[in-house]
Amino acid sequence: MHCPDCRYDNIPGADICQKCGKPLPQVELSASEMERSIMVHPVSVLAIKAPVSVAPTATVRSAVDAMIRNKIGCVLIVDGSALAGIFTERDVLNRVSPQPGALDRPISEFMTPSPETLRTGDSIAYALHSMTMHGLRHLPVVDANGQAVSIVSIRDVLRLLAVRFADIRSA
Amino acid sequence: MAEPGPQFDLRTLFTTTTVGELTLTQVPKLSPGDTVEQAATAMRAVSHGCALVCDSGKLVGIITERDLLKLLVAPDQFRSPVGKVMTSAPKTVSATAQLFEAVRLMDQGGYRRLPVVDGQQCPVGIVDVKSVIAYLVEQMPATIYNQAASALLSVREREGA
Repeated sequence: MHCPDCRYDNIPGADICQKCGKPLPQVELSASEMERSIMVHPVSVLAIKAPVSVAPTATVRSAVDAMIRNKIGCVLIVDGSALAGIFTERDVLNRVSPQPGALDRPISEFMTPSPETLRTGDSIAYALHSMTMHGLRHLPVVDANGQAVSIVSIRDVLRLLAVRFADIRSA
Repeated sequence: MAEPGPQFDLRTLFTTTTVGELTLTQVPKLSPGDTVEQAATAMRAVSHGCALVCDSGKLVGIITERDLLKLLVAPDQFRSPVGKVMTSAPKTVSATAQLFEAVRLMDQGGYRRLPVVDGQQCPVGIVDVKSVIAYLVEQMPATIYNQAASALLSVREREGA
């Protein structure tokens, strides 16, 4: 179980985090199979996509083209190897569509800088919490070096739950 | 022996909850003759990613932020009427349908949202992935919000440090 606070990987069954001493969320025995499952399984078990990224100096147009070409809802802005921002369909609606001249400006002016992220070991329950609390559809997943390795979308999570726990594909 | 806790079975939840029991999102309604630019303005005003297109009160189409994204890089599309670029006759659900049906339709079609219509095909709102997830999270607060408590607490402590 990864500590939701300092992200230390504790041994299963630990009550408090061995590193920072904070209480760990307890996987209640009374919880359902689904609840237990989303608390112990990390987001990496989702069929998540490798991120598509562009440089901060790339134009908005090239980012939009990449979203269309790859049939995705967001791109990451990566500076060197560091995650600098995220640019989503919603940013296109809110920030780009009022001023079509924006298409030839650098993406760094229209992205959301320092986005919320998940760590590879974070649980699916934690991802759900973060998405609901911040009202986000996409969260980049970063490794220990802060490098973005994948993107989790709220649709990925619903699909997993619906297929695995509601048998949605057999009517 | 301890009583077993309340069991949470997702299929049961999906088949015993109707679409109308969720908080349906209200989105802008447009006429087929409105321009794409007007659609974008209406969607921005409520910060929502879709608008429904109605003719005499009946749903005839849907336009989403995904459509806007594609139209934005095509020349001069923003002055087109939405009636020309919308998705006509989108899949819909009724408010009395099982949530299971809505989630199944979204999964099958790869839709992020479905218009909810009454018996006369008049829209009463939309159901989307976000509202389904919000509903699920409400059903298992301990599982989701326990994760929060510790993270939030530590943020406050760090700021105060």
